[in-house]
Amino acid sequence: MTITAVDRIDTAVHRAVKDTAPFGVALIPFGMAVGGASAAAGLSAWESAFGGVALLAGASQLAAVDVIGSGGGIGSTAIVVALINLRFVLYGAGVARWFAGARLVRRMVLVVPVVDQTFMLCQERFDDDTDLAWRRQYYLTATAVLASAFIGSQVIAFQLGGGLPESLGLHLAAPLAFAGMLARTMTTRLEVLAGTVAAVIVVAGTGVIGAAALPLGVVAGASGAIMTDRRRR
Amino acid sequence: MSAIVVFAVAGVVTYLLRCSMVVLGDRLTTSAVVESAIGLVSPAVLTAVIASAFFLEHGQVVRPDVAGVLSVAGAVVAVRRTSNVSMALAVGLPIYWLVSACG
Repeated sequence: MTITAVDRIDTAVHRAVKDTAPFGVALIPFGMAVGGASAAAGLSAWESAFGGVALLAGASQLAAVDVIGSGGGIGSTAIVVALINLRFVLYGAGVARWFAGARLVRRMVLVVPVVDQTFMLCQERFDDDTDLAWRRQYYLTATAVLASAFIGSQVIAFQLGGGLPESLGLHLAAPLAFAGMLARTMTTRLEVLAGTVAAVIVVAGTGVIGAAALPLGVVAGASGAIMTDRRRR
Repeated sequence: MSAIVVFAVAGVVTYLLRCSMVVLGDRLTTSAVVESAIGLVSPAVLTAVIASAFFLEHGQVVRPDVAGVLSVAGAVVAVRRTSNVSMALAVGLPIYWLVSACG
């Protein structure tokens, strides 16, 4: 029996839904945190949804909402978002490799929704046996599942958040979500060192140099950790 | 400044980061040092954002809210134990409510 192109695409869609579903479920509370934080920051539903679609990156959207809510301007928001999303440079390299057979314009479109989850899943799934059409279908299906879970939960939380009292602690949604991400991913001493240095510089320096303390703290933290690692070796 | 404009600019910045390797390809080589630096940036930013949420108010250093700090500590422990990021909110918020009610 021969496998038709339609069967292969079905397999890609099926596989992507199966692989992505747990990540989609895990994204719901995170989306709720972003929606709640947006409501607490005084954004409108339209602004919150636009932020979700424009960035397609939860952590940086949450940070942007935090900066906007505390009165930060366009420059400080862009710097925070760029720093958080710097890892996307590496994810873009993954997209370039997976879809090397596609035209440049198509690759430039395909790279738009790449996030942590799709990068991780596709790195695992896209072996030499998978062709371009299969990969594209898998990637787009995974993206659709993740985006609908994330943006859908944001909209629901936003609607709830607007009518909820401050005592519910929605202002803590961003720090709690970030702390959860750190608890999961911050596993090495170097990461702890980079984080600690950045935090100390930001807290001590904001009163003196304003919003510039964040990029300065991050650069000092990351470079300090790298130098410490080199010296140890 | 409208939040829409801020998000639009942030979206463009994010797209440029995503697109850089697709457009530049082999011309943009990443060394091991650059890759490890990029890996350290995210934890540094997130820690700094959390610290500023608790220790800064209008640019000035303030004493942190005890209920908030305890809720974050509880969230970290919960995520460490379960490896489930969703637990941060599920555990952190009830701790905040409980401590605020007691305090």
